[in-house]
Amino acid sequence: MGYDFQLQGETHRVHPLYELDRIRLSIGGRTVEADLAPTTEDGAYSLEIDGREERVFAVTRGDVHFIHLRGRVHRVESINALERARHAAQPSGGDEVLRAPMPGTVVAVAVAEGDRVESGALLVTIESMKLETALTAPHSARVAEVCVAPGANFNQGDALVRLAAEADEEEETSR
Amino acid sequence: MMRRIESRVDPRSPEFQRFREANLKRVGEFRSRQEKARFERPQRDLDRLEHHGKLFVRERIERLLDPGTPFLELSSLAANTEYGGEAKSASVVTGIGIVSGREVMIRADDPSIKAGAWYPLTVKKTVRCLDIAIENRLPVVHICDSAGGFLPLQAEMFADRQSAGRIFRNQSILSKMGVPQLSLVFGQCTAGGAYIPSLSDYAVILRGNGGIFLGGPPLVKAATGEIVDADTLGGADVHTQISGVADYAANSEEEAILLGREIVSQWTRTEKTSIERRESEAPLYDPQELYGIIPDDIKIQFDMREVIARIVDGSYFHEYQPDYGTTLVCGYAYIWGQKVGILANNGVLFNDSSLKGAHFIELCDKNRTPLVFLQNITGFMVGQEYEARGICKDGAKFIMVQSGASVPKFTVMVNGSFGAGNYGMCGRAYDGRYIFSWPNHQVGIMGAEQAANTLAEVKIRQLERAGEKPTDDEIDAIRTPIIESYAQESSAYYATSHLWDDGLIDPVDTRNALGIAISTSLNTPIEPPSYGVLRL
Repeated sequence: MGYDFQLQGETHRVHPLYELDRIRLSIGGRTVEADLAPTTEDGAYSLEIDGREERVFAVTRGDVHFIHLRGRVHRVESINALERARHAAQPSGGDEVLRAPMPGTVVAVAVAEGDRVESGALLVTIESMKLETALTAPHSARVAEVCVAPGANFNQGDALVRLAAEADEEEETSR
Repeated sequence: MMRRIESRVDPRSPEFQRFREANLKRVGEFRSRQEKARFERPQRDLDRLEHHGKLFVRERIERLLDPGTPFLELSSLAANTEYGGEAKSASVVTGIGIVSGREVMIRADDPSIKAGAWYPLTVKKTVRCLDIAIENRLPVVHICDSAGGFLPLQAEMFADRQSAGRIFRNQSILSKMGVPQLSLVFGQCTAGGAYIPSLSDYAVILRGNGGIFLGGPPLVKAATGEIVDADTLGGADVHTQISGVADYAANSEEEAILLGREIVSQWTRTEKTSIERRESEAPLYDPQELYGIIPDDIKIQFDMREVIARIVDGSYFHEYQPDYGTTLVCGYAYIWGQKVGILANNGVLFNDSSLKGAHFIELCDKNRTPLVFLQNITGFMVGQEYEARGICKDGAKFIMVQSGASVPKFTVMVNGSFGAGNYGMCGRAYDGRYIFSWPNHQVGIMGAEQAANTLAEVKIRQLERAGEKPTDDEIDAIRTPIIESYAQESSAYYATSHLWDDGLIDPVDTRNALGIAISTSLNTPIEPPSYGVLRL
């Protein structure tokens, strides 16, 4: 596998080819010879690409690297390949029923029918086994139905809130 | 190779700010109590120390440690709720530090409190620190300066299995294991106390203040009529030139400490047990944000992944079975470059979460990966459906596998620890190497409200059988005192006072405390995995 980086909105895959005393990088079908070494002064690195030498500075915050090269700063983000593959494969939000994970009591309902909610928004707070649990929207959606009222008891698996995919909204209203 | 946890916490939200304020207050109170336990002493006691030319116990430890290295103090608030609060830190300082490049356990009497007399909890704390030394093969440096057992309470500390005798037994076992000990005798070691230097491989005794004898001058006079002064009876020259009870004499505490450092530098360093390691990096998310994550009310649920993200290297976490038994979060991470398997509560333990926990512990055990338990647990789920599905035997599997695991275990009490959840998640009884607790933590057989209701229910039924019907006021009169005593006895301060943990820590220090704890645990080889019978 290669390493993926994002630069100015575009993803680039880099394949390193290790040889005895050098590394070659294959990027989009092009191969360059590269070397990077810290310099002795002011935290700069000496970057060598195909024999040309450049002075660069790099600052890293998490997965984002800010590379200072020839008077300009480039933002390069390393992309976790697994993370990207998972996101790409994730189905878009459809109709969904939020069910009680355990028996308990409704403490509060934070939404009403017809509300639009963002991913992670609080829907219902329940209490069970001495703990208040906040149930949140798994993705952005529209609230199709609130099935319980504060104070109500419910069993495990009972429907608490029905969500409708946002795209279905017009269809829903036209019914 | 791991993915980072993606935090969903919004530090600008009013809830975050409210929690942060509450937790900063809690931590502020903890810091102030700790500061008092460490340094607040009556002036006359400090004057007496100075008069005898003695350094304060903290100063002795400071001089013993390698400069600029951390000291992980254990149970700094031991005994804080007992003996009217006078035995600060249970009158003994224990902790892990670096001396001459070696990880050692330090145990230092505190002569600024009742001349260093041992209370029952002093003994419990001392036995515990030597248990830690045994389990983690930590050499021990004792700084001895104690008047002996506090006689009014002798019955509570003398004859039982874990009483004072256990100190000397543990010292003997350490020696048998080849783990060295050094005693610096800075005061009198009388009666049982005399065995601490005598059972150490190396002993330095101070001329003047230092003394070692089985019976001090008053006891000798009472027993045999012999009149003898302390120095002639068991001073530095007697023991280093004639009796051979101690090995080196020193003229000042400073000289003795420097000599002690030279002695420790002679000890052969142990090789660490090999586990998966990588270069350490700080968490991506700021540990200070923990203050805004832990709710101000124990009833409010929070996502333990947010806590993990602020403890582990780079906030990287490989979550195992992310969609199964979701009330127990399991996965791999690194803490200061050391690979661990983490089990963290995200709600009540159900059948599936119990099975997941047992399964994950087995994976870690086979994989030779130490285990970290982050406890916030109200218990195992109750109710007809869960009993019918065998919640008892699924909980038993979790407990069985956790008890049998051979890899080192570490527990952090993050918020709450109730009922059998405490057992499954490696509570005190399960021989984890260390338990650290946050100041907000609560622990009990059940919650205060539940206990009060259960007891009130029993009482009401008794009255009803006798033909009486209690009024609401009478019911309140039953409930209120139960809730009050429960609240006190389930607090983190009460728990740490009784050595149910190895000390309270500020949440932001969790990563460092675990880092040191894990490092010490690797002085001991890890036994091959083996388990009892699982009820399948």
